[in-house]
Amino acid sequence: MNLAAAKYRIAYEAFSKFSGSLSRVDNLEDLSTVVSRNLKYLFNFKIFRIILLDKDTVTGYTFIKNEIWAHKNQEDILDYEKKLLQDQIPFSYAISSEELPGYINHVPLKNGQLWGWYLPYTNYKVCVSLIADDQTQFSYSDVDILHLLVDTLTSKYRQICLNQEIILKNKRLEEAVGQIALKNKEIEQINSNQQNVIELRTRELRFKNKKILELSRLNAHNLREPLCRILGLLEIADYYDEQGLRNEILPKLCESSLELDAIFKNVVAKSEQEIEYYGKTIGNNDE
Amino acid sequence: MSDPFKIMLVDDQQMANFINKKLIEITQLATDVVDYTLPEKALVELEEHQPDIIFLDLNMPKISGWEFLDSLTQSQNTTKVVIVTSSTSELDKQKAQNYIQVVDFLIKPLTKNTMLSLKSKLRSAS
Repeated sequence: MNLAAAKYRIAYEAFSKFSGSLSRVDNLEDLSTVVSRNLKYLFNFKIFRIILLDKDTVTGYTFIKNEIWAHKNQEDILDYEKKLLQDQIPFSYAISSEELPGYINHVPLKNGQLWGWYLPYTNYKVCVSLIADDQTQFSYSDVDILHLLVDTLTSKYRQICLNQEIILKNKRLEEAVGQIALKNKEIEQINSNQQNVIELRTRELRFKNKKILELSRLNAHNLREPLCRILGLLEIADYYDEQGLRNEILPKLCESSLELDAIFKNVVAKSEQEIEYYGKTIGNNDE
Repeated sequence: MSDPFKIMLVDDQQMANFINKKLIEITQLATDVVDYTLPEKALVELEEHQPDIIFLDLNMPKISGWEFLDSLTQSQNTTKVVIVTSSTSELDKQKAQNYIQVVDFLIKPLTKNTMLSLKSKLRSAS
């Protein structure tokens, strides 16, 4: 077995192990931990960075030995990464610690070499960079396994994001269902109250109507009595001479008219009284 | 029905009796008329008078027209009755149909024409 084959086999086994660990990951924190733990077995590096960009969000990690830095802001994108995102051309050039941002410039570099790749995916733009040096050398032959790593990591990242989105949406849906149930209950309550009010009012109205009908019948009857007498007197008036009219009919007409007037006044007063009375006592009556 | 024809008026209003008596006179419905404002007294003296027909008011104090009719039924008196009322209630009219002796249901005020119609009705029935 030659060196290249041996190296390939080691990388393959390391990658299998990495894949196995990754399959059990279901959040971003574990994802970076697993990557950090397995990265050193796949290829040599001092600093490894990956930046994933979709429409709105930036997610990035910087891996150093025993250290993970997470990035969430546009400002965390380094200048060479910005250029890479723009040009999309892979590069490799010498770099020193002083050129690096504060949180990683403590890494000692002996003839540091920066490598950069731009990798487009369906939903993300991915920018990968790696710093190696004379002690930990990165070679072109490691690029394939690096790409494989980025593919796996990106698809896992996407899966986690989608899962989280589904969980969030489910939660919102549950909240919405809860709200709807609550509103339904309120509406039922309102309807039920409305029904009670309608029944009560209907009962009151029926009762009042009945009383008003009774009153009007009674009134009509009482009023008709003297009125009928007046009409009757007029009916027979033709059969009296002037003397008879004055002595017999007129006094009776007068009497009946006065009675009619008195009854009228009485009826109006009594109607007002009774309507007011029934209006007040209606609530206590089940009729 | 044979002449002379005798009518008994029962109405708590004296004036109603006065008017009806005059109308009977004008239309020559009867030759003999007795009138009562107290129905209880009329019931007592009914046997004595033996009228051919009774003009009966419904709305009276103490004894109503209905009670008067019930009293007649109880004593098996079958004298014909014409109800004369100021009530325009359809219920009263329906109730009146329960009494076989009630031959007509007239609503006040009575007129010459209603009297004449009644006259021809009674004549043809006799």
